[in-house]
Amino acid sequence: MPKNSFKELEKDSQKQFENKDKQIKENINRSIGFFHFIGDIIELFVPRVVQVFLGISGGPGPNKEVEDGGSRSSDTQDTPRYPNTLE
Amino acid sequence: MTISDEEAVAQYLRTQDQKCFDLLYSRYSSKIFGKCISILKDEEKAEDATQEIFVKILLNLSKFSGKSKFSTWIYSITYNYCIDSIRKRKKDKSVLVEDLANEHDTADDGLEDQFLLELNVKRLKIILDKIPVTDKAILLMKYQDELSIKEISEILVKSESAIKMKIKRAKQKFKKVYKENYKDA
Repeated sequence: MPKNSFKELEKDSQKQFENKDKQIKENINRSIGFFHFIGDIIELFVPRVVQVFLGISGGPGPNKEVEDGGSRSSDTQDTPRYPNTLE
Repeated sequence: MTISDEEAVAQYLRTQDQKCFDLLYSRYSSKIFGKCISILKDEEKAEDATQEIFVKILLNLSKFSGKSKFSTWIYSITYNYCIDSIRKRKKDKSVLVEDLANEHDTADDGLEDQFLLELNVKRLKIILDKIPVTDKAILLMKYQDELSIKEISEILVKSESAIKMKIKRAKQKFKKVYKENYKDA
């Protein structure tokens, strides 16, 4: 195989990595775990915050459906839920 | 049975299976660290960079389109990260270095590939550490990673002819610094 000093240089550089391998991997897993945690928090709270703002601005609040037994007002009416809908 | 990088990526995206990450990590971590340490020239910074590059890779894994090889994609993130962090550290100096490199665009073709490939490793390291980081990175891509001109052009987002010119200039620079340091050149 023809000599390639660049490859030899790469091997030399990689030798320094051997004793750091585990620690770097742990740190990466910790960082990724943190990002997943933040993602979960956002996933959990953002829809609620949106609901609260909707409630404040006059739309259906977060607990409105629960308070009236979980039924929508449209469920009890004879009128179709959406305009232009054939019943 | 061994699976390809691309299959491991697809499987990781589907299942978030730690084994797929472990596989990619075992294949590339030492290579990434090796590149970081040769460009950043500092063990601690190389350690941090390897960590940040891997986090970046994992967070952007879904953006890997599969148009290029996975290794090319990973190297592109690595080289660009290292070059950016060097530039941030000494912004003005780097600009000056680029300007100087442009001045050396003469008819001289620089060095024979054979000379570079058969050079003593110790000398190679010394000279690579003395040339500008962009020249060093491009020589590593060509001779260490054995990337094609097309792949390098994708990594550095430049045309293929610009890359050929950059390689030529990097070799000229290498030759100049080598001559300054060793009489037998």
